[in-house]
Amino acid sequence: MLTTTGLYGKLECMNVEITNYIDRAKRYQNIDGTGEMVVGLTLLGFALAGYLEALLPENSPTWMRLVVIFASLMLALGLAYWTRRTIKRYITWPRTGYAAFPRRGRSWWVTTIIARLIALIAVVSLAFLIRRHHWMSMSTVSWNLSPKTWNPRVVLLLVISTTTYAIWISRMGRRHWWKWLVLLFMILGVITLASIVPGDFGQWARPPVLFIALLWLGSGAGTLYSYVRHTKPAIPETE
Amino acid sequence: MNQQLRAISELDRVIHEPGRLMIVALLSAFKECDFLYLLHETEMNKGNLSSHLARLEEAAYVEIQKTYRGKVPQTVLRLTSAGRKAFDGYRKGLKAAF
Repeated sequence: MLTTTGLYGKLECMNVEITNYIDRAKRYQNIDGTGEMVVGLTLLGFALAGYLEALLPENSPTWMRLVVIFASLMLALGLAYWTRRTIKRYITWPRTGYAAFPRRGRSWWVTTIIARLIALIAVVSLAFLIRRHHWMSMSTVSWNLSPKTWNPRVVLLLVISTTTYAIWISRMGRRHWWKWLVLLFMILGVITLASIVPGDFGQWARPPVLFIALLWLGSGAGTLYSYVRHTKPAIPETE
Repeated sequence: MNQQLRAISELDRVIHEPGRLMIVALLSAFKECDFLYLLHETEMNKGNLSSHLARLEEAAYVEIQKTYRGKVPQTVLRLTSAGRKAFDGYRKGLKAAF
């Protein structure tokens, strides 16, 4: 017979197990690296928009710039959707099974938007604090970047990109230790690019965004490779 | 103490069995999934999983739909609203028991 302590210990264990299984189910979304690929392709769309916009004549109307940005993003998002669907359909579902996630509820969106706003305010405050630390006045310093010059927007990009990836690893890819090396590479890469690429923020931001996009894509491809290596297509079910 | 024991005794027996609890916990995170996914995640054998699913279907907690993906047969499973409610109740009951 179970003692009271033993019984409660067992129930506590069951409660932990339930949470583990729910988390495991949520992580299944990125078991094949498609989540990272979607982020990578979206960022690639932003980088593409930046490069295409730079090709436009200087006196191009605003609507033309907006069309370029919109077209690039739509292309990237379309490609992301197609990639995810194809990988799931032909690689993931035949190997480890089909699973469809429920649509996000209203409360999820509200929480997400509030959390992101708080994160944005925190990051902007951090960037301004760093700026103040250097005893610079916001009004007198140009917001343009020159080589080896940092401004809050650079810090913002660095903090957002690295924290997003770090959160992603801790939630979705804990089993892949090499992703922490990718994170380190991301930090070093963005710092290096910030130091060597000249020009204003618009010009400067393109290579780091492209770099971050390629890292996300590479990380997704690595996850997919690892997944394919460790699984094999199942024999059609006969239950 | 008595209240806690009562909370334990009131736990849903259909869900309380570890194998079924695992299945329901996994299903609760999805809109739907297939038999292969559960087989892979729970690491049960087909017979075991089928019998647990039959028990859950009998209790009207799980809906089982036999279909095809291309030419391959596929069994799609989803938690019914009664199943979701029972699982939420079970979790609340478990917390109340501590």
